[in-house]
Parts: sequence; C-alpha cells; structure tokens
Amino acid sequence: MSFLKAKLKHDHFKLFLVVSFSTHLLVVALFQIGSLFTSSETIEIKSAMKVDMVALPDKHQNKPKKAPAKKKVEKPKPAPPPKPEPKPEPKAKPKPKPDPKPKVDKKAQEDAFSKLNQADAFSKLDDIKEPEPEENKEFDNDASDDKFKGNQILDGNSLSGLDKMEMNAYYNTLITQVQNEFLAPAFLSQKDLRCSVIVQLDERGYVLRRDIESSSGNELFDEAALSAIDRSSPFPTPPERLQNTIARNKIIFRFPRQ
Amino acid sequence: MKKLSLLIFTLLFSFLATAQSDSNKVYLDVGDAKVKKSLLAMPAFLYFGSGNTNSTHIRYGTELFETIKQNMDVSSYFTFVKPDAFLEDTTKAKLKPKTLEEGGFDFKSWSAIGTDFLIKAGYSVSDSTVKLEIYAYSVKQMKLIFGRTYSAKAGDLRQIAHTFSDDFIEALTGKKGMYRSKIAVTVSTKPGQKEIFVMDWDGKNRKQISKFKNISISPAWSPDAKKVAYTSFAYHPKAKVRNADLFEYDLETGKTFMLSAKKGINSGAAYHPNGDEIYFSISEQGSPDIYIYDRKTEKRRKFTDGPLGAMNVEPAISPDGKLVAYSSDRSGKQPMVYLKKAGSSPKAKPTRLTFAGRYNSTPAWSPDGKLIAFSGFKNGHFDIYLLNVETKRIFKKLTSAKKRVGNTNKWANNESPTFSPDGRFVMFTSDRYGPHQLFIVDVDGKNIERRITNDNKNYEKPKWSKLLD
Repeated sequence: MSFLKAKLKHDHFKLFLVVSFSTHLLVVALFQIGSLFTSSETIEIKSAMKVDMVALPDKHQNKPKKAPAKKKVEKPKPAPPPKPEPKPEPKAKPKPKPDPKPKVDKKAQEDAFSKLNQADAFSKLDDIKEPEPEENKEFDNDASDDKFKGNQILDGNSLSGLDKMEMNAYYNTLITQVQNEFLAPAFLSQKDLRCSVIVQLDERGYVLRRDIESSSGNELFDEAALSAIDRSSPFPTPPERLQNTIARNKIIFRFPRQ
Repeated sequence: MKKLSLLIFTLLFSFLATAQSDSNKVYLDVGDAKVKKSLLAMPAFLYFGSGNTNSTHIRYGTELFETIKQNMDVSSYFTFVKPDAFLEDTTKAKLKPKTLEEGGFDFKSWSAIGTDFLIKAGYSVSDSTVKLEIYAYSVKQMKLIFGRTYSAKAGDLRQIAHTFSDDFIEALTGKKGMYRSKIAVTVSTKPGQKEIFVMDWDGKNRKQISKFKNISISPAWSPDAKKVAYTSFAYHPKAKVRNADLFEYDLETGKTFMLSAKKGINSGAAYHPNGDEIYFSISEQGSPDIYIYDRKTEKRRKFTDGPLGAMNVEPAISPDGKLVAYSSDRSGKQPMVYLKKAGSSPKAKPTRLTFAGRYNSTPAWSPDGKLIAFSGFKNGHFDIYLLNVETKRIFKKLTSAKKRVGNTNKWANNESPTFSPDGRFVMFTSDRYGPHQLFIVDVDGKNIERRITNDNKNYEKPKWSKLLD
C-alpha cells in the first residue's frame, strides 16, 4: 500500500514537473515568437546635446539701450516713450518711511502719465508715418550683438563615461566622415532625392557589406551615396567595449537626412 | 515524453539564437551632398552636308556649337574636357557608339579620361535649312540620355541650340531649362531715344517692339508671354502734348494697343497671373499711386493711396497672385519695399519688408514665390539683395563689383533684378564697365556674375519671361 502511495505521489510530482516545465517553456517560446513578429528596437542617433547653463538676462541693463535708438529718430520728443512703469517702482520702493511715500507716488504718477501721453502721441504719429528705423542698420540683418548676461556661458556640467554617449560620439564620427565624402553631381541638386544605405561594420570599423536599402529612384544619386560609404571605409576603430555591439548593429545611413 | 521535451528545448534555443542575431538598426542621417561639376566632352560638330563646306556652313556649325557650349557652361553643372585630352579622332568617329554603328565612337576612350557626359552632333545645310542631329550620352552608364534631330531655317539657328539645351537639361535634371525664355528690356538706341526690345536670354536674336522713336520704358510680360506692356511718351496730336501712356504689344500679331493714357505718368506695369488685371502707377494727382486696370470691365481702381502724397511705384505681383510687392516712400524718407494683399483696398495698410540701407526699389519675385530680389542703395551705390518673404530677412547680397572712375576704383551700381523662370539666376543691370549692361548671377551657387550684353548701350529694367516651349 505504502509503495502504491509512494508511486502515486511520485507520479503526481512527475506530472507536476512536466506541466510546470512545459508551461514555462511555452511562455518563453511565446515571447520569442512574439519578438519575431514585432520589429526590433531601433536606435535613432541624434547628436548629443550639450546644455550650457546661462545666467538670466539682465532686463534693466538692456532696456535703456533700446530707448535712445528711438530718440534719435523722433528728435522733437526726447523722452523714451515705452515703459513708463519701471521707473516709478524703484523710486517708491527704497523709501521705507511712511511719510514721504505719497509725495513720491504723486511725482512718479505724474511722470508716468506724461510719459504715457507721450507714448500715445507717438502712436498717433505712427498712424501717419511709420517709424524710420535706426539709421545705418546693416543689410545683412545680423542679430544684435548686444552683450547682456543672458549670453554668458556658465561652467556647465558635462556627462561622460556613459556607454551611450560614447556610442553616439562614435556614430557621429561616422556621419562626419560620410558627409565629407558625399559628393553628388550638381545637376541633381535641384531634385529632392533621398536614399538609404544599409552598412555592416566589423569590430575594426571596416565595411563588410553595404547595400541600397531604399533607392532614390535615381541611379546616379544612389551611386553617389554608395561611393560616399566606400570612400569613408575604413571607419575609425570603435572603442573596445562597444566593438561587439557595433559589429552586431545594422547601420542605416540616410542620404540626405529624412 | 523525453523526445518532446528535447524538441521543445532545441526549438527554444534556436529561437534564442535567432533573436540574438536579429540585431538593432541604427539610423544615421547624412546632410546635403557637396556638389560637384560633371565632366562634359563636346567634340566639334561634324558636317554631314554634301559637297564641300563653305564659310557659311562653318559659321552655322560654330554658332550652334558655341551657343550650346555657352548654355552648358552657364548651367554651372559642367566642366568641359579640353579637346587636347580627347583620345579619339573626333573628326572621324561617328555619332553613335561602335556597338550600334560601324565607325562609331568608343565609350572606353571617353571614360578613360574621366568624362561623365558626351555630346556628339553633326549638322547639314540644304537651301537655307539647317539640320542638327545631336546625342547626349552618359559615359559611365554607357547609355543615351537624349538624342534628337532638329531642323530650322538658318535664321532660327540659335533656337535649335537653345531647344536642345533645354531638352538635355530636362532629361538630366527633370526640370525644364530656361534657354528658350526671353528678356524684355529698355535699350538706349540713340541719345534721347529708348526703345523696348525682346531678346533671347543671352542678349541675342533681338526684336525691337516699340517704334515711337522717343522714350519707351519699363516693359512687362503678360502671364502667357505673348504680350509685352510698356510705357511710351506718346505724342497726343489733339492736345499737342506728350504723355507717358501705357501700351501693350502683341508678339504674335505685331500690333500695339493703348491701355491707359491718363494725364501724367502711366508706368511700371505688372500683369496679375489671372491675365485680366494689370497693376501700374498713375501720377495723375501729383505723386504716383498704383492702380489696378481690369481688362474685362476696362475700369481702373486705386490700389494704393499715399498716405500724405507718398509715392507708390514698381508693383511686382507674387507668382500665386496673392501679394503685391512695391516700392514706396510712405515712411517719409527714402523708398522702401512694401507688401500688400493683391486687390486689397487702397486704405489697407501694407507691411514694410525692408528696413536696411537708404533706398530699396525694384522688387522682383522668385518663381516659387519664396524670395524677393531688390536693389538696395547703401554706401553710395546699388546692389542686388535677396529677401526671404516668410521670415522677412535679407539673407544674401548677390552682387559686388568695382568700376574704374578716373584713376580710382569705386563700387559699381547693380540694379533692377529679375529672376530667370527656373529660379536659378537673377538678371540685373550694372555700370561696372561704363554703360548699364545686362548681367546674370546664379542664386544658389557661388554667385558668379556673367556679362550678357557687350556693347555701349544702356539697358534698363530687364524682365525675364516665363519658361517657353
């Protein structure tokens, strides 16, 4: 009896093992099959962004600069019309005593009103004649060279040592190299042609295989893209840690960017 | 059972293996290509006519050859292979490859010297008809790109050359060439006389269309390029006065019609792309304003109104017909370029487009409507500038040249831009060699300025036609 029981137990255990094992297998297999039908993860390489910390623009420093420009043009009225508010504020604030306050406020208000009126007069003028811009303004419309705090770069913090950064840096050297070799006939420059080339590199950066993945429809343009790859080979040797990954990846160059 | 689990195991591992080799895709984006010129070989054209060639035949051949060569050169797509580098006896090798024709040329003798394209042609002259058989080959691909036989009267010789140039460029780029397009321009013929001429883009094949023997100025093309409007100081016998009236010349019939004869100056015409409306300035009330003349109703209405007696002239209508760029001194000082909706009320306020320099005038639209070229006055001389209509930024100065004045070099004036119908060139007038001559400059490339006319006449306000067939 006890033998029978033991056998039964043993059979139960065996069944349990088989069911459990095959269920696990099934789950793993399902995932594998699933991964076959869904496209594998693609990596989009974009230039790594370096972020510079900058100081906030100093508003007060910059504002008075604009006013004189207008002064020059509209000679008869010397007061700068815009921004009537900023001035009264600083005047009112620094005085903490309760007594003189109303006096200052009145003055400031009057000031503000007269300036507002002036501004209004200007805008009426504007209706009749448009303002003449600053004289001698350059034809090339360069952005103003005004130096204000906002364009001072502070010591930033840079990321380094991350594999991804290193990988991106390597791929960026590939782009630069191919870009330098990408020459197309001038007569094609008016056409909006695009193609992509799939490239397989080995661990040392040599091109093992390159093929047109999607054609531009123009033989000469496709040829220009392929020869850009050919002339770029060999690429620099990738960093040792990344060699395997790079050799495993399929690199698709898109000519020009899409 | 064992077998089953083994099968499952092998299956599983094969899946794992394939999953591992199914590597990631990395997309790397390459920017625009650097542009290189292709090497073009064009041996002298063979003479196929019977009998001996005479000097007239040789002249025809040379003119065909030189016109095509100039067109290809101007395209800025090619560098020519020098004839002394040719390996083949080009006086003997026939027009087709030797695989197709006995005595034909060998692709190898051209690829050996790096040739990308080869143009082979032969011509014949009988009576006064010229026949040109011409082929363009891609040497690398060893195939024919374009080939045709053209024939025309000897007087239309250049038309053959321009037509082939257009056909070849279209076969190569997919875009129509501009070589058959025309220029309408004011030319000073005698002291005190200016007439309107229509000519090929290269200044040749001229036709005088105004014959008033006085001052005729500011021509404009109709949208179908079959008519040219212009202003002439015509004599009014009844009133015994001269007035600057607006005329229209029909290129097909050769007839001239009067469009507007309001007292004062009727000038600076621009056709709306709809073909029914003509914008032009009338200075009836002192300073000129832009009016819209409707051909159907024969009525005119005001498009600009001062303000305060400001002058509004030189309307240029965008290719889509929605906007009008013009020059105006409404800001009070010097003329600047303004933009206004086509057909809008005279009171509608325009947008000021240019703020730079002392004086901006003669706006001209690019065929795609994205750019406006204008002449801007700065530091004592005019130059041609390009403005992006969307961003309203002036982004390029197209011209720059010095002229000799006495013993010193001064900056030359470059004025009155007009875009080629393919948008690749801007034609303008320049006084760098004395009189105002016609020049072209490429818009995208290295901005190479080429002289088009070569005489002592003055040229004013050229207008480039649309693409012509």
